[in-house]
Amino acid sequence: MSGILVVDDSRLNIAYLTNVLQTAGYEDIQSAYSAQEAYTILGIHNGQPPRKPASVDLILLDIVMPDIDGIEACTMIKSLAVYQDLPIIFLTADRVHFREAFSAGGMDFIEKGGPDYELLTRVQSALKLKKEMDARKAWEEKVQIDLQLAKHLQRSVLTPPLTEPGIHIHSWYMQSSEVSGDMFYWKMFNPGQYGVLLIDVSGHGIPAALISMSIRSLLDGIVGLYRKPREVCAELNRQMRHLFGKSRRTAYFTAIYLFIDRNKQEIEYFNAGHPPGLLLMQDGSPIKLSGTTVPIGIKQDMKLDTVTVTYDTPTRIVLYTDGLVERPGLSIHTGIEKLEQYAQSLHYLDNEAFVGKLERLNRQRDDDICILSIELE
Amino acid sequence: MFTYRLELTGQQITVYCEGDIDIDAGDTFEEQLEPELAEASSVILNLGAVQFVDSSGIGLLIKLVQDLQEQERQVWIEQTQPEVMEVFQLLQLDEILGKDTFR
Repeated sequence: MSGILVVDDSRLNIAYLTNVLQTAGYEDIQSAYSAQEAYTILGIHNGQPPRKPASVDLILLDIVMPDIDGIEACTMIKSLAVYQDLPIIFLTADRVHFREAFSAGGMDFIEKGGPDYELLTRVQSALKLKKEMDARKAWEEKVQIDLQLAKHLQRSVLTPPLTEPGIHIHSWYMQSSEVSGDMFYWKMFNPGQYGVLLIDVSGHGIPAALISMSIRSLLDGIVGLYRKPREVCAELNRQMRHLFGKSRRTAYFTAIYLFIDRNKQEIEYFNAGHPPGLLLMQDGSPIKLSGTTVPIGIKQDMKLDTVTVTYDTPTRIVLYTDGLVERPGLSIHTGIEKLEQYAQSLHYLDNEAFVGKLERLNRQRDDDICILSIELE
Repeated sequence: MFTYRLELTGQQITVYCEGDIDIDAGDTFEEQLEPELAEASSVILNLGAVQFVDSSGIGLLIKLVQDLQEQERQVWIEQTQPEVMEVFQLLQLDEILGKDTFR
């Protein structure tokens, strides 16, 4: 039921308006003979808003009143966040106040002495609008709460940092629209061998996150069981096609997976359409871990070639998703070069600080961003 | 904003694409462009006026081209801008759609 507050210093006017509204079926009508009285009904004390808004859906507000006039009262009420969407209709006998009245936040006006149907029509449409706004706001709040929960849930499945003697892995994870299509995972097979995976599902937001989360649930099994890049790649592709191969739009993800063997100082990897990982050693220019095959989920028979590189310690490997280096209209190679230079300039930082600093490269953030740094000593 | 213009030469349709190919282009691709290509025996996608293709856009292109190829129709992608070509190369699109698709 809709609550209407009528504010007017004339008792005669209030009696008349109340009567018209009641006759039309509105039951919840409160009246105030001054702005101060209206504040009290709205729970406003010394300009401070109430914690919960009063159950008023519309105010009919007289303009010319002693002490505080209607325009000042309207400005005051509208300045409070809890009443920002509360419609206020001015009651006036004189059009000279119109400009001020509208700039104070009034949504409509009713001319005193006008016909009843005009009053009722304006009241009805203001209440309808208020109801729609309330419903939309309630829905938005619900969606926001859901998304926050989902965001928290997604972060909770991220693999925690790995700090073992001789190897450190840290991550930086940024969800562009609460939930993300980026996902990473690592596993220590034994103190000398590790698997590290980073994926980036096409698109972003909820659809991408649904895919990244379902793939995440398979990784303990896939990486844990297959370990080697060739087999991990084949199984990821098989699962992705099995799960999402029949969706209306092409669903795929890019991925880079490293099998690190510290005893041999060797890294075997596949890169499925992912931006090149960077292997930064103390001497010489970075080695790029470039693409070896097409993204996962697109082709039934994808190439399963892998590449093996050797490294000297200490070395640092940076994996990242394209959100870090991609900007509309700019070359992605330029972005990767910038990342290379920036990463090299930060070589003195410890691994955790390093990965946190790298994020500053792209502050536009309309895409999901994920960065992994693996330090081998 | 993605738009396109068609040019018909016999059984061949050239699609002059313009704007960004991203998630917002999805409806245009699926509801307008695809049906319009139903009759053509060969299709040329001209990307000369496309400055940006994101991962969703790549998905749309793959779907469109693969569907046409499955129906044994010829498809070419031409005049791809350098920045867009870099993204295609990163994702190994030539490997997916066939090297002859690009010209």
